[in-house]
Amino acid sequence: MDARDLLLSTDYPLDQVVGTMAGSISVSNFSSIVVPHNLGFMPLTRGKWSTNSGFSTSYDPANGLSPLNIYIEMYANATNLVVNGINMNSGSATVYYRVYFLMPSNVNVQALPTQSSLDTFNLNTDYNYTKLLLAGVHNSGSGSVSHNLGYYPQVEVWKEADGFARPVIDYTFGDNPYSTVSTSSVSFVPGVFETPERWHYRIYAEEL
Amino acid sequence: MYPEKFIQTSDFATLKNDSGSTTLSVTIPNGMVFNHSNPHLGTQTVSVGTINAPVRSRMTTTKRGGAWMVSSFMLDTIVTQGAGLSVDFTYVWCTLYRSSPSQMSLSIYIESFGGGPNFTTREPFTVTAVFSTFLSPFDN
Repeated sequence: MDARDLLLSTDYPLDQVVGTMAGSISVSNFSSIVVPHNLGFMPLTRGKWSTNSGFSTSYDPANGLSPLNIYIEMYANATNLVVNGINMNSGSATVYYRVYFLMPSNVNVQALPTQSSLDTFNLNTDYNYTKLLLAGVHNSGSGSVSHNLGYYPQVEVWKEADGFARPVIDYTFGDNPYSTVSTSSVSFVPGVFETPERWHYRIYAEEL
Repeated sequence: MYPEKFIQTSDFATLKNDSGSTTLSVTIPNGMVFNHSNPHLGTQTVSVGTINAPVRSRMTTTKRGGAWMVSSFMLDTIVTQGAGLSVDFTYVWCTLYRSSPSQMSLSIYIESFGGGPNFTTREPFTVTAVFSTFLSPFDN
């Protein structure tokens, strides 16, 4: 059975969002806010930011300048969500952020429900639910994990250092840690300025 | 509820994959003249799903020897020559982002500062992104 042919398969776990946070930060030169997330563990964060409260245009919090000449990053430890911003323009800008959290594969604790609205479908066959083939922690600064799928799968990677997990969604010429994906493996490459203590990865059945 | 003990549970919001994979590619030609007062060098846009959607993506450029980065943002270089200057290189930023409620864009741009000499690219440069979008876990 090829999991890619199914919208949902009980052979594989689905992503389960264990928390969300949203807010804003005024970014002038360098700005930073620290917000408690109350999860009790270090979550894997993904999110978006925008200068529009309705998020009509939005960006990933990458490790580099956006087309707006603004830099935003978001990451978390076991206690707080951190949002850092650098504005290379004159003056200040209000940046809105939205973050969702996944539970790392080496954590198994209770979490409060996030599916709160009865009129919002938890499962809807109009959409596909990506099947988690491999999830784990690579306890080294570098290395790789094989998937041997023969195609490029959807992948999510986070680097962990000093108790913080940061999404790996950028390549900065090798200065910072980055990850590569091939048709057989996912590699974890330390940066010139930083070597993570470990890497968290999630590899899905869906092709990318 | 212990979410890691279940394949799926209705207690936790899901990520709904609303598209297959989509490819965007932007090429900067050899001989293109640009100035740091106008940082955008090129953009390609495609229509996709909902606003504020999470994205999974891989990216590469013609400088990476076929390696695909797990990324939506890449910093790379283009060989360039400033007016009256010797051949050098310019850092370029490549970002995949949501450019409107229904569109995704891939842009190449440079650091923005006013004035300075015009520069000319001395090689072609292409960035490619392959991505899949999801419905936002937020209300809109």
